[in-house]
Amino acid sequence: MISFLAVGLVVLATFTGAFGALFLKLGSARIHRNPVSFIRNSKILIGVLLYASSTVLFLSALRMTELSVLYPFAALSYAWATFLSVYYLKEKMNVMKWVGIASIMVGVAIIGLAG
Amino acid sequence: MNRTKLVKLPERLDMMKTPLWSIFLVAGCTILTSFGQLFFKLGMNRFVPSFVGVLTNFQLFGGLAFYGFGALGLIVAFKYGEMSVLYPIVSLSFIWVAGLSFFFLDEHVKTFEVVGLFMILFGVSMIGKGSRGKKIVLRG
Repeated sequence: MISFLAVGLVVLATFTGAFGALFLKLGSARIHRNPVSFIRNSKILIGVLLYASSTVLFLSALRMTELSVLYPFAALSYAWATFLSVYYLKEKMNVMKWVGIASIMVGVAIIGLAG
Repeated sequence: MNRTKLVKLPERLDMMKTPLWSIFLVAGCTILTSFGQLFFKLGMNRFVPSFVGVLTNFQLFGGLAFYGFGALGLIVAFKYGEMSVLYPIVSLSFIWVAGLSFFFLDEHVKTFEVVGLFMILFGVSMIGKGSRGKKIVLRG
């Protein structure tokens, strides 16, 4: 029972992590040499906050279940990030990039299952 | 006289938006954040829940600094490169963390785990390769 909650938290963590990366990407368009451009940048701020909450969600899930259960789900963040970059940023994918994403996801899952 | 030039061109013109240096910058940042994780771990090992205890815990501050510089580099790389290329590169940190915990924390790395690490390495190189163009021959 409790592990369903943990898995749910991790899936939520992968969503927030991927959206965090998207906001960092959007915010990065407006940065330049002036360090103020990093700080007074609402999108960068949102991105950092999303990343932080993703970490908090993952760590709280980790308190309930083992890493081996959670890592295969944590690997989902690579899929979300790819979908977001295709959907919102109009980036182009190709076979090699998809194979790379799939391989990374399987690799992360294996590391979790091995641990 | 016809000269044959070998140039590297993107498969499509909207590709190759990710400069090679940004890929290496992200790879470097994952080394920084992995050291950040190591320092956090070391800091938490000697964590004392008091004001002075936290202020004198230079491992925690070291970890934070590593994370900060890593994030800074990541944002700079994101400005010039594609997210679909750079985000998966961050998975290299699994490899550094495994290495650092082996060398500094005396943790075991299992054989099956090494298989996963190699799959990540393979995946990252496929993405790197997929973000480059195809070699084509221009005549003229």
